[in-house]
Amino acid sequence: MDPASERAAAEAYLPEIYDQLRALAGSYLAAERPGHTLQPTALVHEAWMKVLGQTGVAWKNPGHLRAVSVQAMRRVLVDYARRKQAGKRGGGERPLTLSTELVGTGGTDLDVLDLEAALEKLAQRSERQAQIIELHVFGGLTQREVAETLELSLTTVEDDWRVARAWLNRELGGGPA
Amino acid sequence: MSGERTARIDELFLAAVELPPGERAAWLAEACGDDVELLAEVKSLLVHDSADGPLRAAEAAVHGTIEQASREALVDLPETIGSYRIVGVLGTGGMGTVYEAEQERPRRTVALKVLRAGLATRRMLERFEWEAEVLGWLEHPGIARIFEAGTADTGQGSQPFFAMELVRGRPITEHALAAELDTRARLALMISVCRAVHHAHQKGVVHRDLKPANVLVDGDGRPKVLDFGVARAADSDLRATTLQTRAGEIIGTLPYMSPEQVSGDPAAVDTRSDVYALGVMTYELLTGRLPIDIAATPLPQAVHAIAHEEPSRLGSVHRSLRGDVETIVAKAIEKDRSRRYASALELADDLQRHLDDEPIVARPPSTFYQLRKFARRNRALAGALLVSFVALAAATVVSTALYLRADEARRVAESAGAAEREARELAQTSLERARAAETEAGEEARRASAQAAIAGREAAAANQVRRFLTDLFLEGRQVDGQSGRLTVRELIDRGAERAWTELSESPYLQADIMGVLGLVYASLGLYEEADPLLAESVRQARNRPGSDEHFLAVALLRLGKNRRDLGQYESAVELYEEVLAIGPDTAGVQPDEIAVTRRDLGMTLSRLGRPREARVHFERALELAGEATGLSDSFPLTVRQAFAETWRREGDLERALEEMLVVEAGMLELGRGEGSDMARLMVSFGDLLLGMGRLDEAEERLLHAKSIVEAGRIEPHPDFYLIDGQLARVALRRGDFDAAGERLAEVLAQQQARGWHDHPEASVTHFELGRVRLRQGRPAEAAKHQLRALEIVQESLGRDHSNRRPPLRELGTALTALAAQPWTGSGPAPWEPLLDRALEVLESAGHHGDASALLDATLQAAEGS
Repeated sequence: MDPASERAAAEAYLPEIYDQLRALAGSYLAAERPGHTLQPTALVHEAWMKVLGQTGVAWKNPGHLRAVSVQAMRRVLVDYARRKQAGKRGGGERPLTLSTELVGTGGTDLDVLDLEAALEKLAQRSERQAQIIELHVFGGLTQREVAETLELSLTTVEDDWRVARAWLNRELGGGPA
Repeated sequence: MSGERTARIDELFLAAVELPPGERAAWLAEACGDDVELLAEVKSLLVHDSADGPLRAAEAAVHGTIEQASREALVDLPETIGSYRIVGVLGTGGMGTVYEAEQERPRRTVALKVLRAGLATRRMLERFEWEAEVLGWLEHPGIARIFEAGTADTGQGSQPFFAMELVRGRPITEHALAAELDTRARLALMISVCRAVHHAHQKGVVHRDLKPANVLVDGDGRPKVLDFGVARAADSDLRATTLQTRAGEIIGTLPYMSPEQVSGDPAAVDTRSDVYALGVMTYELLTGRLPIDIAATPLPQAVHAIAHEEPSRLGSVHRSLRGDVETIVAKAIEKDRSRRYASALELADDLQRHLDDEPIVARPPSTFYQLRKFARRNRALAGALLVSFVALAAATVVSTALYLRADEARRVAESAGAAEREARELAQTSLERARAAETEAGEEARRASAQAAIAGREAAAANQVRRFLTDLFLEGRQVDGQSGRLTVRELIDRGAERAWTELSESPYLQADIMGVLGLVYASLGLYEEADPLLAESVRQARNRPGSDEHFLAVALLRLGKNRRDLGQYESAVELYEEVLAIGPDTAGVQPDEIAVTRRDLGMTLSRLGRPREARVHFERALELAGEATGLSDSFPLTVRQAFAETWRREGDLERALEEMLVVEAGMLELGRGEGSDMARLMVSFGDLLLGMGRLDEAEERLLHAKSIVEAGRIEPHPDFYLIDGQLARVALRRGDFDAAGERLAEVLAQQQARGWHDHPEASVTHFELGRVRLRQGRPAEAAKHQLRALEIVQESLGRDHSNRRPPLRELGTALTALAAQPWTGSGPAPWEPLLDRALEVLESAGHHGDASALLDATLQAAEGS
């Protein structure tokens, strides 16, 4: 598809994908303290720009776009975690956190980067398994939604899921022995 | 690791987890044989088969990161901008970023909105600084104060910024939900917002981007409008920046944009555009919905919908919002800005009047209002008048649609003109490509201007039509004032007469007027009277120059519908087919009109016993409904109803029933439980259920239809005359003759009110009522009805028509039953004058044999008594 019609196609899906991104980010912010005007818009916007910025991708259908937007979200988060790590190590970048009051009590960034590394390794073992985990973890999709998005049977997703979970548990270290 | 190897591992793992843990080791050893590596790998994976392992922790980490990243807004925070110290980020969007910032002197926390570097051109910056001055003057408790507006060098060039009052609150819609405000409180909130907006308007500042996200309600329940003047300062041309650069944000903004805003003409945007947005917000605040639902609609269609689609009325969402509030909101969101409130204050005042139970200023269109006053003075006419108002209002809508079309054509011409200019520019770089584009653009411009000319003429004609009708009514009102005896019917008759005689000089106007008057007759149920006018309108349309196909199509559609209502199905089919032959063309028929035509043609074919052809048209109508704008949202349901009726005619009752249930549920879901489509559905569905012997369900539907019709807010339709008759049949099937008798007497009264004394339909009613009276033990009345039925059949259908046998037979039964009753009174027995009259009726039609048979039977019965 040429860039112009590709863009047009992306715009046709625009409301849906935008809502999706918002839902992704928004569901984690549901417990926002009332009276504050903070919106998940920024995160969504950045992911959105990544989606729109993708060239050479043919927009096949909404399911495909959903997968692409989850990918974009993953990249945004991993970049974020990397920048933060760099800041912590005193790598010359300005600390991003200026108001400690605003910072959540989420997990450590190292976990996100570990997961990213493990997912890349898993992709070498089985790309499909890695994608299934990606859609669930970064996109918050249920197994049924994952199956719809990738056009797989639910059984396939369930099986892959189980294998990949064990594999990642081992890769990420520990687990019940 | 090879793919095969991996697949084998996965397979063994998945099989093993299905086994009880105790059996796994032995089974695996067996399955792996001497492949020790395979065994080790699967065993290792089995050990880590847990839902609560490190992956779960990593997942939690991801969620934590999303939360954190969202809060920090993923932007590199500058330490200062201008004299402001940056504290955090409140939000980011395509236009820029909003920071929470601290000012040294005076010491306060502000919201600092910095526009994106790339968006600001030099000229914009200049204007921006001027705007900034003006914004400083805005001081109102309902407006977030702008403390400073200026430009600052952030290292990425000069960027405009606003420092404004930091409001901690929720968008107005969320606040209303969370605080569970009732309608009054919501309206009071909107009044405050309107007054604040008006303050800014008085200072010459238009907001241009009013939406719930820009109206926050603080902890004390006070609304504050944010971002006043920001949109104007930032955007020189909405179409360029809003629709393209701000792709992601437009979703939240578009529904509040007025037609003049989406048309992309910055000069057309004024305070009335804000009034529009306030109207939309009021609508949303009261119903939780938008007047024009464009969620999940691609941009071009959404823009088209805003410019052309009629918003659904408030009262159709919640019945309690009918009346004043509905009128006020409708006036605020008029497409034509000159019909809106001239200011936000006027809107606020009208809402306040409503809350104070004072009469509001907003009125439905003024002709309507005048006519309503006329109706009030002549109550006997009110019901009938209301019907003709509907027709007149329809005429007004038609003319409005024509204006819009003119407007649209002009815009097409304009944009074609722009395309032409663009083509010329391209020519400098690529001559060849430009030439082709130029030709195309030129052609489009020519086509568009031709269309604009037609549309313009149509609009002018529509105006004349309206004037003619209004004059007619006003004249009628004067006559009415003197004698009080003028009826609507006389009014229309007079109009028709004038149309035939006085207007023959101006054939265009004549054809238009005849079309409208024909429509008025048809809407009064006077299909016979409507027919010659509509037919003449078609004849004249055919004689017009070929470019006027749209007019011809409309005339054909009207006549076709009338022929169908007259039961002249063959003729209707021909007319509909002619419309389709004109086809979709820029100057021809619109897709929505084709969709309606196909449905109606299908319905007619179905009645003619041609179900297959009918279904083809229904399917095409459904396809078109998906593409066309301007159709009611219940249109697809009416097509499905037509499908159901067709199955019913073919005898597939179960399938028809299934479909009807779906349509019924769909109507209710759309909130269309009280409209004319629903009424027609209920009649048809009731009919089907009656035929299936499901009497209670049938009665329920028919009574619902009756209640809608009696509420009197819908146009009449021939189907509605059937309701009481069908209810009578329900009663008959139940053996409840009293109820059936009452219903039939009602039907007869309605028929007589319509002047159907000699109509074949009336003979059927007399016949049925006669049978009921006999069963009720009232043979004298029974005989009278049968005699009347017989008389009508002989006179209207012909003296030998086979329909005369049933009433004749029943007449004999009734008369003999009457004669068999002992008579002890003085004078002739009750059967005697009836028999005389019956003999007269039979003799006059030459049925001597029937007369003498009836005489013999009756005398015999009398002797036996």
